[in-house]
Amino acid sequence: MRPPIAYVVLALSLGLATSVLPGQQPEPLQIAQNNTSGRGPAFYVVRTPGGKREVAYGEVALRRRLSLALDHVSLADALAAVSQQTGIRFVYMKDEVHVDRLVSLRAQDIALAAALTEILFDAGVDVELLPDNQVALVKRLVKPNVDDARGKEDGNTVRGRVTDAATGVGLADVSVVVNDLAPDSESIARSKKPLRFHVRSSGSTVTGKDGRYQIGGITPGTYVVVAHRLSYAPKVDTITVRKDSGVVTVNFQLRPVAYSLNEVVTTATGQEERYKVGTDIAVIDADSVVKNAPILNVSDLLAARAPGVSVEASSGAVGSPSLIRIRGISSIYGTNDPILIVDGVRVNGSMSAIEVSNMASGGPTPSRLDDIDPNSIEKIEVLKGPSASALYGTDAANGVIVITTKRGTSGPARWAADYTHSWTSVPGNWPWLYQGYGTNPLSNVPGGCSNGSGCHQDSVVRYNPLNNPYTTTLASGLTDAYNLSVSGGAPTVQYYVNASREDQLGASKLSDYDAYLIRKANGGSIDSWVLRPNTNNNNRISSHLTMQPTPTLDLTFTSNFVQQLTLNGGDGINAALNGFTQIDTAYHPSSVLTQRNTSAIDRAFGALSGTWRPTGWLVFHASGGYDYTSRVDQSQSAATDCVTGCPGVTNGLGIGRSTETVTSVDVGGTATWPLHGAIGAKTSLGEQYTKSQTDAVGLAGSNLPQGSTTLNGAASTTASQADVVAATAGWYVQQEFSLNDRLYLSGGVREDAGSGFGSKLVAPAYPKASISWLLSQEPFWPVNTNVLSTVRLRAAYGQSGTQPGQFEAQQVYASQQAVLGGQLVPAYYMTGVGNPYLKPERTGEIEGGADIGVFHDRALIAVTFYQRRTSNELISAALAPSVGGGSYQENVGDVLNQGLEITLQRLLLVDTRNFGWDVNGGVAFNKNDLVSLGNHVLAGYNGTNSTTRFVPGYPLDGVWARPLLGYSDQNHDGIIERSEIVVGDSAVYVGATQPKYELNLSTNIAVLHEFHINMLFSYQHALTQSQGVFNCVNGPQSFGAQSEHASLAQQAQFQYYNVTFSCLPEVVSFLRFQSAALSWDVPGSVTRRLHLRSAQLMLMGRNLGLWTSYAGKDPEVNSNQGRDQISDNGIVPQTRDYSFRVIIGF
Amino acid sequence: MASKLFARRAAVCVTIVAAAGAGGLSGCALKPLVDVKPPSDTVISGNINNVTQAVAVYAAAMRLFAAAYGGSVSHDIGSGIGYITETGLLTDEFTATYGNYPLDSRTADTGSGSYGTYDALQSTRTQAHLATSALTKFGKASPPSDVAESYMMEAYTELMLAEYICSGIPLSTVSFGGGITYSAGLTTTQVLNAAMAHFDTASTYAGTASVQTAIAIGKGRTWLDLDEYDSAAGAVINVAPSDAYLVQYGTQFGFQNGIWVEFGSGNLTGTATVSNVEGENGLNFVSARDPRVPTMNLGATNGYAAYSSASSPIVLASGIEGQLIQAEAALSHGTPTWLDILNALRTNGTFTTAPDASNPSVTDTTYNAGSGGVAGLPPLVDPGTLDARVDLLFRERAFWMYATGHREGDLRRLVRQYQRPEQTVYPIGPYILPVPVNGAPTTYGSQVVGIPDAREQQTNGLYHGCNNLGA
Repeated sequence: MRPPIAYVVLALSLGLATSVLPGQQPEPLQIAQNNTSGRGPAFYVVRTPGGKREVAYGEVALRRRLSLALDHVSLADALAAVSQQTGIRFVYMKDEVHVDRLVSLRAQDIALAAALTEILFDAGVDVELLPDNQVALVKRLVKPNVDDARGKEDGNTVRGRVTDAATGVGLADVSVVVNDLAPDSESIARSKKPLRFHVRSSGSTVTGKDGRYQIGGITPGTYVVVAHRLSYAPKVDTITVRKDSGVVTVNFQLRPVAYSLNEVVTTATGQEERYKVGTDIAVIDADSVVKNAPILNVSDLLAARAPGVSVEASSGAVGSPSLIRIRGISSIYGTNDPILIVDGVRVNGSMSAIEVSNMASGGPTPSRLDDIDPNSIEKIEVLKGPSASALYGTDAANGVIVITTKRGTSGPARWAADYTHSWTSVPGNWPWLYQGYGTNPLSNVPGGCSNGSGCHQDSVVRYNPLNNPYTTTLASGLTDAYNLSVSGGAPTVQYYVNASREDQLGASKLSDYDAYLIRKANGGSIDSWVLRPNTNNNNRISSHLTMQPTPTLDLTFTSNFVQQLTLNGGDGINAALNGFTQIDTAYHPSSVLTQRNTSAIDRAFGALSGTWRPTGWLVFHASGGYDYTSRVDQSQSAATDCVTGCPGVTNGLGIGRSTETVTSVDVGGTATWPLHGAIGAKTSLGEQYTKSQTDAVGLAGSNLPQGSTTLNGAASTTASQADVVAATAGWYVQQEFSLNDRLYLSGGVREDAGSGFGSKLVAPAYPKASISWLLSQEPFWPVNTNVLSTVRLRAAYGQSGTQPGQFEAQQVYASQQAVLGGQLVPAYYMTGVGNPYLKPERTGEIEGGADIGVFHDRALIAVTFYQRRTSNELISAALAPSVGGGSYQENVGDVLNQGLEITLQRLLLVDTRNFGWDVNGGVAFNKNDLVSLGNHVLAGYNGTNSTTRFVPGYPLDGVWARPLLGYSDQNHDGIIERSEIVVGDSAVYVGATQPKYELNLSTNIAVLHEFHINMLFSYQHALTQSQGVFNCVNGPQSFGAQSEHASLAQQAQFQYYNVTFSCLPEVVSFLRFQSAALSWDVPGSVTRRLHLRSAQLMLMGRNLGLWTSYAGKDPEVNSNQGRDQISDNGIVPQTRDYSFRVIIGF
Repeated sequence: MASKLFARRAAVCVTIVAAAGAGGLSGCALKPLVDVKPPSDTVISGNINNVTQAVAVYAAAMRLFAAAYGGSVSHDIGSGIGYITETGLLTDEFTATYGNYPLDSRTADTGSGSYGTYDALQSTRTQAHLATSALTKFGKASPPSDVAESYMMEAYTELMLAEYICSGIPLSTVSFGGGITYSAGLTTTQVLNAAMAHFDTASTYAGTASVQTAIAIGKGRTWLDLDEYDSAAGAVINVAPSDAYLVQYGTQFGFQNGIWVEFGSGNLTGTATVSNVEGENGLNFVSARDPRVPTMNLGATNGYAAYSSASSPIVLASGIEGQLIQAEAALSHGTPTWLDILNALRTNGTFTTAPDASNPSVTDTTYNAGSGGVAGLPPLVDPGTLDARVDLLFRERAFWMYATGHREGDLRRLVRQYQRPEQTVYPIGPYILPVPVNGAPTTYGSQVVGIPDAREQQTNGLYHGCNNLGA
């Protein structure tokens, strides 16, 4: 017995109602009980004017809530009451709907669907949701809508109904195919060949809106009947038709698949179903990830969750930035950061150099991307490149990160709160460091042997302060995170507010031994920041207000406030991690633990956006955003907090202050119309403007009075100023065509003006085109195969750009002074020649691929190939002195990125009532190649001396080093000396800084619907890392002859530094157990007793394992701010965290 | 019905497109939206559109010129040492006391523009060119002398390049507002002709008296370099011996007289010393005790005492040079007046006598100042031979114009125009520093010219190195 449609719809809304009002008696329940005879209306949705109607379930419109008190009023009045509360306009033919009949309904806060079900009970009409907030009441069709002509022919007929297995709703647009599988007797008789399996379609059709179908003209035989629809697992049934069968009924219940191509994704022109978009857009369900994994910031959300989106951690210190790189790196001088869009407006998301270095000291600070509260995010979409981001224009060449924040739903306030406590530590053992001791033959003085001194080594000591609890600078860190949210509202206004706080204590400290020494020297007091030099504190509030002032207008206002303070004790941590061979040396950690670097952020950003649908086929949108960041960085050196008077340290203070603003405006409109028959058309037009501005000043004072923490009284001060401004404005037009709702073609163009473009440049235009073809929806698709249940082919091409640097196109003069007639007068010195022909870097990307649902869509595999070519590469070319010297930007060179991305979307391994297990994964290959660079001399780049280089034929930032050709212990003393290694004379290519491929794998296990286990692994293959920590600069090699305790290979590496004065980079790979989480959904019986809506308890771990060929501490971390820093030297490795979290809803 | 509906929708769509287009959706109309205001310390050429701003471009050229000519290593704009110091080190005027040994010992003969003078002269030339453009475009109301002076600076930088740098000098240009035109290496004669052309243009503007002096003397100097003595004499005929063009300096750090800084006057730890018979062929600038080259004893080294402060101006061109040019022209014709001209600079012919206080048997003769303005120089006696006369003339030039960037040009002219072998005019033999330095060269090399910065060859595709490394 199938439940009637209306019942199902109501049940959905009931679920919502009961969860909103725990313990209250919901009236809709009675309606549902009354409505078991199937006489209520069916609900449909018509998404595009004149489009097909689909069965509506879970539509937001149907969940709008209202309260009614109708006692024997006319249906017309009842509808008017509903209309008033929901903003819906009802349309109907008077001869089809008897509006005079009297209805009664008293209900508090019920869903629209429930209300309509009640007042339209037995009215003989169905409900159609139309696009422009209209609802049509249409006469219910008595007969199934059968559109197969063959049904009228002679022969047997196959018919039936296809329903949603979960809800019982009839499914429209299901392809039903009757395949003749077994050969008939005639063909056997004709053929002498062995029996051959062949497939021949005997008829096919598509179900009507109630899920019914009928196929006629079926000759006797055995058939396989297949029903399949996008986002549902196909079902197969085998039937035998005899001559006198007449009508054979085959009903199907289709089960929705986990992954849906119906999912809505964000594009420059608005929201669109994924299957209509020709590119692979990565969607991260942030809400669910944050709830099920240890997430502290947006970078954590992105890490190892979308192939091609690479997150490069810079350090294990709290408040450290990460670089996000999508599909490799393309720019030499320009930024490689993707742009960030939050709720439709552009905000500052930069993570490179200027944003992540402390303005006062150069140490790292958090990136602007990580300012955003992960708790406030509903979902993150990543447009990976120009093929998807072309309409975003200049700046979008490196991809677009689109963040949608959570929005409220109407109803009484729903509160949610969570608390997380984490313990962090740095895992792993630390290698021994060796120090040779002996006698200096010249001075006859005993002591540590230094290299090249001819020292007669007589003993070796080994030590590592990090292995001694008394001297280690590593400690347990703690994180406390609090989050509180509330959501609710009326039918026309909904709100969501989220507030969170995070207090993080990094895993580094002043060693106990040093603390003892300092206390002894300074009479007992040590500043707390010296004891624990790494902390990060965040306070964030985000709010989202949505309004529907009129049925055709939606308004959204979002705002975010971020307050952040990061302390990074700079030198101290770094020095300690560089390693020391003795407990007391001149390089004692505490003697350099003197720098207090802080970065304070106060940021507010918000967006106001509106959508207006004047008619059903026309939508306008407009949004404006403003992002304001005030940043104060300080770096303070204090000469008091050291053991031995801090040699070389004077009291100094540096202050960097900046304000960064981003202003953006985005307006546009989309018109949709049926062009002809099965062809639909959609035209979009829009205009965007973005301006970002940074005004920074730096002040530094030296020789401050003892104890002073202000610049007042500094012996000397210096000041500097840096203002950066960039703006782009552009417009786009896009035309889309659809054919039979299976084939989607789209073409568009964006034209831009940019503040960095040359005056001689015609505003550049970026074209785009894409195609998406739902191949498996075509009637000819052999759907009887279980292996390929859904196939979509897609291809897209697009271009985007990177804007030249500020004023590089213009001739600029520095306004300074000159002496004229003994007086200082204003003088304009030409400092930039100006290239009036300067163009943006242009990145063209072609991508193609397929989304394939396999095994009844138990898993969806997306395969995407891309080729991205960046031409007109902006380089800063050194100028000949004869034109005044200096440098200027030119468009020279090409960079090619090619890659393959494979996503495995939720492979359902086990799916039983009490146990579910799925696997998700992704792999991304990328090959980066600097194709050409002209014959220019790059300014400020010392090609032959750099570790990372720009060499045509090699990857951007390829790593070069003199090779260690070999070593041998020629004198058999067990010690590799400097003379016993062979190092090549000139540097050779070692490897790329980016991995050759990345692989990520996550798995979810659900037990008894209450327990969930989530695990995430990531693997990176062949990236280059340089050991700075122990085996190079400050390892024992700098102290001379080596120990027999260290392997010869290790010693050879030590000696390599003595020859080359640089560390030997290695190509490494690693597998990291990123995270694991166990969560328990507290059963309703318990939560009800506690008067809670829901409760969840979680245990989580991060960075639980690392398997690598790399001998250093962490193959992944390096201070990303400079391109050539591929070393973990002085950087805290990524920490291992264990967390406990409790989440409650009330 | 449906087609009507469709037609209406299509019409609205077209209207949207049209309205949006009218609203400014074209590339050209977008540009005003992205016109961003430059930071307060930066001016875009497009915003330079009035007299005051054009004069500021000219002021910067003046400053760069001062630095390129007489700047020190510590001047703020440009880098390296100025023309006076650099050519003085290469010749017999100065000896290095700190760094710059390869240049001083004439061994820096590979791509050594990095000492800075080549770069500084070129960027000064560029800025001067921009100043002439800005002034002629917007500076109609400014004194025409500014324009004349800007052209004059352009000409002088070219003249100095020609006198110092090897043949094969690119005179690339940057247009006001943007755009680069690279130039191939020009011969010394071509560069001198370019300088002459700029002097000619400068003279078409009404310069102040001092600017007119600089233009006339510059022309004369250029004609001399072109081996045209009569034209040279003609160019300077109207310049009175007392006329002069002075390059201004300031007391502020970064605007200082580099010679005052370099030679110990300023800080007593200068980077060079006045040479005395440097490398066998050098003149006795110290031991001559000539009032035209005042020195001061700084222990091991000799400071140059001509300047009293960091803001003391340095002579670029003077009437004295004009007289010397006329003397050279006369000598080229064998006219005896050459000696009269030289002597008139030294003394007006009258003198006083008095017994020497320490040795009464000796009578000291004190000559009264001549038109050169320096007291106490006895008249010269004709040495008789042509070579000796030339030697005497060039010695007079060396002393009158000590440390004003003339010596390198003179030494090259001696080689080029008077057929003196290089080893008879440039310092030769063992290289001995006043203060011994480990690792310094031990013997003088053979460098006689400056060589452009190596970057010139790397980034200017038209430039292919020196034509000739000789004088």
